[in-house]
Amino acid sequence: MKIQTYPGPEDIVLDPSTSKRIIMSCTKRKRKKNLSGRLQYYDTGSSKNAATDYNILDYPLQKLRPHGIFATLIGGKATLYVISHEEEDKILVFEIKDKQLIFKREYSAKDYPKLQGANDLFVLEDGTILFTANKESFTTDIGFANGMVGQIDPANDFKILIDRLRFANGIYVHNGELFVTETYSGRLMRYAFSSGQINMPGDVAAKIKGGDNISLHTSGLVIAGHLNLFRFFCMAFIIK
Amino acid sequence: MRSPCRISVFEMKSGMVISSYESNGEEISAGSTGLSVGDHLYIGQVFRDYLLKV
Repeated sequence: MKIQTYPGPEDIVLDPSTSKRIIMSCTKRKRKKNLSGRLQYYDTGSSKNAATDYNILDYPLQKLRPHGIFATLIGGKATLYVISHEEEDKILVFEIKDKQLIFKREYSAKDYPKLQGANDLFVLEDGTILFTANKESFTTDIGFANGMVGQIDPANDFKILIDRLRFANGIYVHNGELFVTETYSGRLMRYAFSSGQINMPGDVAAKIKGGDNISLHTSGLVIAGHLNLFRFFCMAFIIK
Repeated sequence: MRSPCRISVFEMKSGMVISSYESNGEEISAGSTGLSVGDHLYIGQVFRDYLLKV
């Protein structure tokens, strides 16, 4: 069954306050043109086959260009973190109130230069943000180890946890282990992680061709992969 | 133009990778996220304007 959305529902997560509502980040990708995006939701118990726009308060919709998202409870409040590719890349933080998203704060590449090229993120219970980022775009970074995992802690201090990744994409933390997909190498990397510290080097947990975003399933991690990167690149170039 | 994709489950205890869905790009192209909700798998994508519920 197809559920109609705004174009490019690239990342999808569950609303932590209901666990039955899917939140999605949608960005219409156009070459050499200004992009536009939406944050939408879909109730999995619904008989409808279309997603709905969130009502976004206190943040201009026209600036929004969402990419990786993560939703969790912070201090008992359902909170959505959104990577948004604007004039400079940002992480936007919204409180989720049913069908509304209330803007709370932002982290900008102006203050955290390594946020430029951010792709996906994961947020710990204490509000520590972990994000993947790459120096170049997906279509120009091929062959280089320019990917990294950065951390912004609750005191707003930044540090690089992992670098030299071959296009760092999806990220997930579970049971004291941090997982990152490397799209170009086709590796799911695993690192022991505790108290904001990584034990290097990591190991290759699995081979996942063209690994993209990661979510949690009862028996493990659900990971999307692109089986033919050449065709993926071609699509990126022909989309108008 | 279509971009084939696969949704896999990495079982952390066994270290095994199990394919749970695969498309040659016809049903869904450039699938970027798999999300398991109840008995269904929802798949997001990069370019087109729909989620796939499997």
